[in-house]
Amino acid sequence: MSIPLYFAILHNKTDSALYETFLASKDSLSAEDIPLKDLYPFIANSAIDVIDNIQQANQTNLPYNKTHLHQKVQDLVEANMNSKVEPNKTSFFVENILVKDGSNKSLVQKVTNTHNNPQNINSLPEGSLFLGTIDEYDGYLVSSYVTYNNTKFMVISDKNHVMNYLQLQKFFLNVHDLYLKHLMNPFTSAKGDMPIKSLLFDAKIKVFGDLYLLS
Amino acid sequence: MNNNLFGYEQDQGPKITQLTELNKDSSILNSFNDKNNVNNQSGTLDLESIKNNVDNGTKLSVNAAKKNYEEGHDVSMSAYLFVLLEFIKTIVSDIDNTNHSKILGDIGHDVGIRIYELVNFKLLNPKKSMSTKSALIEKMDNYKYIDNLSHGSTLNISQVPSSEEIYSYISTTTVELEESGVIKNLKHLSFITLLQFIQDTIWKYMFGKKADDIQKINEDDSSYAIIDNDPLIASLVLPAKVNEFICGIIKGVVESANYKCESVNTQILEDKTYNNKSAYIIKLQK
Repeated sequence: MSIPLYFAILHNKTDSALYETFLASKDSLSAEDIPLKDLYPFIANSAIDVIDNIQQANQTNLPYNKTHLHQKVQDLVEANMNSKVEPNKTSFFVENILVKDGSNKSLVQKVTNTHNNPQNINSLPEGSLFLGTIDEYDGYLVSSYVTYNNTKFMVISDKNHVMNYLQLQKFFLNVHDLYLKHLMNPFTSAKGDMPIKSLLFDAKIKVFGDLYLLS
Repeated sequence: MNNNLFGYEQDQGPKITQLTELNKDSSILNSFNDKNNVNNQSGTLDLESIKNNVDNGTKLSVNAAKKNYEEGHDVSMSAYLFVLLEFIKTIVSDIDNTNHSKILGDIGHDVGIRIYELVNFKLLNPKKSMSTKSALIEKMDNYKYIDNLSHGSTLNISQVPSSEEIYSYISTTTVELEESGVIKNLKHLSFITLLQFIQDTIWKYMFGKKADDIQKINEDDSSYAIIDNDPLIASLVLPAKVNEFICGIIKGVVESANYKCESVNTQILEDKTYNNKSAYIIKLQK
């Protein structure tokens, strides 16, 4: 039984959710049984700070000082990672992204040098729309993509889900295309943050999820 | 007096000429069949062939227009200017004692937000060209893209295609990544590149040509000007008003690219060769 992926589109100015859904395959849990169901929107919202920082880092070089990431660094220190954690490079850096091994709860396993690790973050060019995995919360990975006008797409996957980053890019790119069609509709407001309620939009996102993320 | 001088009876006015009626008019038939007539090149009048010709001609032109529309080619300028002029007319005549330029700018702002997203995406992610449309794709095109915000959820479920249909449709129309998997979509990292993007790509998308110049006005990098010698839409109707609309578009683009824009103003410059040489001055917040 796998846990469905959470997908959300967040508005560029007000950060309210334009659209959110669970991408579930046939054998996954129903939405009511997901342990962190109510927390997902908050995880997504907290990751916005990270996105903003990643995008500003190239211009300003401000040290990162958001509180939830400080907490994360503390957690890492508690897990005997003292020597390897740089406080200014917090959880969105590859070296600091951790996945707890399911079989051995005491062990904090470092994800490196595997095919599906988040190494793409390092090779991503400056100003890239695709940001890779940017944050981690108790084994839940937050992957993100921003459009040109800074609308954020986010996928939250649990630790057992094997993420293929090429497929993830394809998923985001196609959702971007779909979002563009929604935006170009003259009867939607370009500035406002009205939620997307189109059934066809919903159906298509679910098909994209099936096609790229769950197969 | 023969009525053939003008080709119609002057007392009654011109005839409604329909192709089927040509058969009945012996004089026209004679003139067509006359081999000494210089204008008669085909020799004989074959009504069937003429009819086919006309039918095919209209079919061709309709198909060409439809193709243009679907592939997003040019828009008819007269139709576009008509709509724009009606906008301006309504705003200026109906709304009193308000800032007209702000309302026009707001309309442009919405256009700018959309255009920035659209042009960037179209530039880098060309879709697979669909030369032959299958029956399935045509069927999918018939589904309307509906937003049911205002009416709650009164949408009929049967209007939404089944997931099998969407599956096979999407696999033929999705945007493809390159083999390497590296996303080549990048944001504009400095304001100068954004400015060049406006001057070059966006101007080409909107008006079919580049803007002529970019200038830096202040030394402290806070204001820049885009200069167009002969603005396409502003040269024909109400230059000052249309320029305010274009200012709104520029402001929308700059703001959606995440730069803090204080104001965009316009000014018509004096020039000997160009009547409507316009400058669009972008002021950034410090």
